[in-house]
Amino acid sequence: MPTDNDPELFARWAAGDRAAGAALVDRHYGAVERFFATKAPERVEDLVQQTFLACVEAAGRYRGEAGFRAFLFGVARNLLFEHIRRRVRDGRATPDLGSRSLVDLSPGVSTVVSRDLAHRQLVLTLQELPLDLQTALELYYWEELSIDELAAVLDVPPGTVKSRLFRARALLKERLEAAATPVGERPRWLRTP
Amino acid sequence: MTTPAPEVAARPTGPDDAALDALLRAARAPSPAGLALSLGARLVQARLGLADPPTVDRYVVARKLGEGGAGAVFLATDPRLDRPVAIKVLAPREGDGRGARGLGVEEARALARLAHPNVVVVHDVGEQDGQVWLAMEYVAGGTLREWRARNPDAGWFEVARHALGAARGLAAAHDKGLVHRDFKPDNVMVGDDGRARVADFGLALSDGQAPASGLVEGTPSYLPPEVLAGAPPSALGDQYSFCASLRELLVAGQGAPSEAAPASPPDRPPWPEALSALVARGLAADPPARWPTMNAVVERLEALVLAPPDPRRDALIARVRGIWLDGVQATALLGADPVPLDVVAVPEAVEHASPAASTRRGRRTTATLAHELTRAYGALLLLGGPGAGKTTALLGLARELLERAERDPTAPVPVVLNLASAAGARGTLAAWVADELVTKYGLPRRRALQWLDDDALVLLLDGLDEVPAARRRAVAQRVNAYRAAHPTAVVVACRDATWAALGVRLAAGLALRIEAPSEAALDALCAPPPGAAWRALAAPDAPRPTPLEVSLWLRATTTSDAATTEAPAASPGYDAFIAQALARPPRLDAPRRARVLAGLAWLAATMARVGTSDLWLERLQADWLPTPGQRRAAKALGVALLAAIALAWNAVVTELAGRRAIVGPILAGATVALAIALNRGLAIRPRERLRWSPRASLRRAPFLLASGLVAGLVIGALYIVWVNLVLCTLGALALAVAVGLEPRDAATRIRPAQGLRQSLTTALTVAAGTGLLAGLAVGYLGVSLVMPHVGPESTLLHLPDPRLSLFLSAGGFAALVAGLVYGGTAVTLHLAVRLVIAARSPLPLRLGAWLDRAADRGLMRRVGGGWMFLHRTLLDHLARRAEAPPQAAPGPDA
Repeated sequence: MPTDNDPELFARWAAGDRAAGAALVDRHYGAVERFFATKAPERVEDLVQQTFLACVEAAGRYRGEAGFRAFLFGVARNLLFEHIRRRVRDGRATPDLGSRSLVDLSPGVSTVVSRDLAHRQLVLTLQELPLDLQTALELYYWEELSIDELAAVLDVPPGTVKSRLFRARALLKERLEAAATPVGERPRWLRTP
Repeated sequence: MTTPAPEVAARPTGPDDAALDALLRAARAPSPAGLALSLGARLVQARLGLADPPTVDRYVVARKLGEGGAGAVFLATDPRLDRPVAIKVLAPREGDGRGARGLGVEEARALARLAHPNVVVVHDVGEQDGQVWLAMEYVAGGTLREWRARNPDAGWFEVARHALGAARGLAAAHDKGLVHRDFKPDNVMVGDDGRARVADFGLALSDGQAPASGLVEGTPSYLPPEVLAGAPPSALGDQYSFCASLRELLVAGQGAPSEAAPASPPDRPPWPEALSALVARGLAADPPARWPTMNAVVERLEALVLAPPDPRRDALIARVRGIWLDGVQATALLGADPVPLDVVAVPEAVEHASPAASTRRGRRTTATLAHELTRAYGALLLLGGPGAGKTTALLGLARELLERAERDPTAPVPVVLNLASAAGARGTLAAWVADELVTKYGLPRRRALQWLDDDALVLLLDGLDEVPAARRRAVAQRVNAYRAAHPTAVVVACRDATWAALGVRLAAGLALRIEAPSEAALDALCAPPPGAAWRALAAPDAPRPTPLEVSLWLRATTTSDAATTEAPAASPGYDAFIAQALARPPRLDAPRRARVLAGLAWLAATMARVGTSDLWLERLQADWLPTPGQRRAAKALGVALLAAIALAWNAVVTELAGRRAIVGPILAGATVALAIALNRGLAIRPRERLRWSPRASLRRAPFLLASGLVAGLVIGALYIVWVNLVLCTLGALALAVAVGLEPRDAATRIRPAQGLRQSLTTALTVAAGTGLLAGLAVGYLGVSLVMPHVGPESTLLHLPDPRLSLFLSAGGFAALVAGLVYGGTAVTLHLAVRLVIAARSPLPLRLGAWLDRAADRGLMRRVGGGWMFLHRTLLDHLARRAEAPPQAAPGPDA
């Protein structure tokens, strides 16, 4: 979808133009919603709303180098971390939340909305990866962010982004392989047909 | 979004790089396209003030409720009727034979005609932006799947109860000719009222479902095999889906095997055979082999779920609730929000600790503890320092388990028992448990034993540290032996140091140490600096602090690492806390305050010395007094009071009956001796309600027969020998029978000193009864044989009949003995102790009222019919004060 006039719309919105804001929301709502759906499914609506709100409130900090979407997802990522820190016991103690995985931080995040089982399996496996790796994969493949945009979102140099993507894929592959092996012995009535 | 999802688990190994790329791209989340997307975006806009709230037809959309396979659901308001509705926006369908709408107008009309309490009502249907939407009844609560996730330890009974509701809904729809086509747990809503409602009829999706089961381990399919093979959906197909859902929900509660106890999981599933049979037949691959209709399924579920209630079980539940939950103030803590406890596993306290268990650490609410206990481990050991919250946790567990037992007739009922009395019990723990169940909970013995064997009870055992040190190890070992022999779930609460010193491990279970509250919890409570916290707690107008608050405050103010030592290093704050409490209204002047403080210290020292943390007036003993001199004085006073009563009574009776004066003192002495002998010493044993036990009679019969013979000989020496012998022997036998009356503890101890009051009543009742009987027996039956040459010598009354005289004297004697034995001794000895306390300690004679006033000041709390200090450490602090009173405080009077 055309995103060239995003910065312009954003500037107009920050200046008070409501229609511009509505248009921006229309354009990016889906992507932000997808972002939170796999990481904080129980609070998606609130977080999406907060993201847009935080964006317009932090409009002063928007430089425009990496594009609006990078800014948007950077804000979303920060909100996600804040949300996790509040919910999780050790959250405050962990400086680098991006290196922990969702499964590690809050077991039970498995209410994945899925249209089919393969998708569900994939998302569950993605949640086992460290948050930043999960984010990188999703934003790259699903929202088709460029390497530069990803670098801005994750706040690392572009070279690191590439290596992270590489590592993320390797990890994902490993996990998918592990998940494909049968679960151990269970009593008969416990096994599904 | 038309790329078909690749089959992940069909290969044994994972995908290669290119396939991985494709997989990732293709698995892009089902972005809410079309109407749902625009509604979501419009909602955000509305919240940010950028646009008006979106509408679907006339319904004003308020927020998104969720997203499912069939589409997104929104909460909206119907402005015309001013009620909430749920708007479901169906996902757009692409290129399948049924066209853009899965739901035809005909079907919508049929659905609208279906009105059943177990079916979500459809109010309206329409189309917007090319997508179909439904306006339905809004059910607050969630889907059945979500309910199961929230309640993983709910038993089969509750699952079946919800399933029954869903089955009824399905049956009603089938009766109207409707077929659901897509029944699964996500399509059953469970309202806050607990009623299950089936939703999403006729919205069958044939795309996106896994084609066959078993491809992805652990996620079953709900589609019946004939539909997968191409046949049209039918009512029997719905039945298959229903049974598949039911099976999944039942199994979902079992948990992963690696978390379970080391014992292998049972071969039989933990639900009735009939349920397995129901599900099995419904899952038959061949449709005609299944149940003929859903009504048959409904019938069978009803047979399982609507079982007749068990009044004894209900009575037990009510009793547990009455004794432990309603009478104990501490449970006010556990009201709405259970306080999460920080726990860490202690594998060295347990044998065969499973590797998963040893790394456990974290937060637990009592609900989680209940789950862990009954599901996986069977036995739970709760350790912790004093005041860490073990008893509170135990009572919280009792409450959780009790609520579950009320909801689910198949769940075990928790009973709370104090191990202190197990020390003296002979025999196995099972026998002691059965006795306790009989005496404290009023269960018939047979039922108690049966329930123990049927694993229908959970035993919560508190007070291991109140068992005398010498017997503790034996008791702990008996707990292990009990566990080995019975399947009942058991929880034991004990102080950390006590358990470690025992050198015994709990056989196969889980041990958790409750740690002092975490920093976060402290922050929450002690946001102002610690000094201010205790001031706030003790302020005159502050609400009384709860024990938990005191724990937290202690943690904040003690200087050493209080979590690991038995006693806090210093509690200077406690002195100030007490001073503040004493300063509360009603006002006391300085000497009175000092006296109250001294009284509290004396009490605390006594309780610490005796080793009890709760004070029940009935349990007061002469041996509790601090100095040997006082103890002797109390006992001597007790005996003297008994003698005085006996003498006075005998004097009266003698005067009334006209017997010879010399018999009086002898009889009095004999009576007192007999009473003390039958009381087995000078310990105060309140006799409350009575229950006859033949065994007890037989045990004491020899002694009494011997006494009877002796008495017969003695009296026979004065009168006619052999007849008196016979009579006395008979009398002794009668006494032996009567002596089989055993005391039974009152069912619910609610009022203070209730035991003593009841003892007195019992004494008087039994005295009157026995006196009457004995008087009749001797006076009217034996007179002609016994004492022919006795005439009325009364100075007070002129009795016309010598038999009346004998009636009075024999009856009086028997009444005195019986009254003393059945409670009179206890009451008298108790009175003696109270007199000594009033004379020799700062406490007054009217102890109950004094303790109540202390409770009003917040220093103690009422526990059923007894009292406890607010906190164990307060008791310790006061006890230390009693031993070494600080110089600064003004000395108490006397």
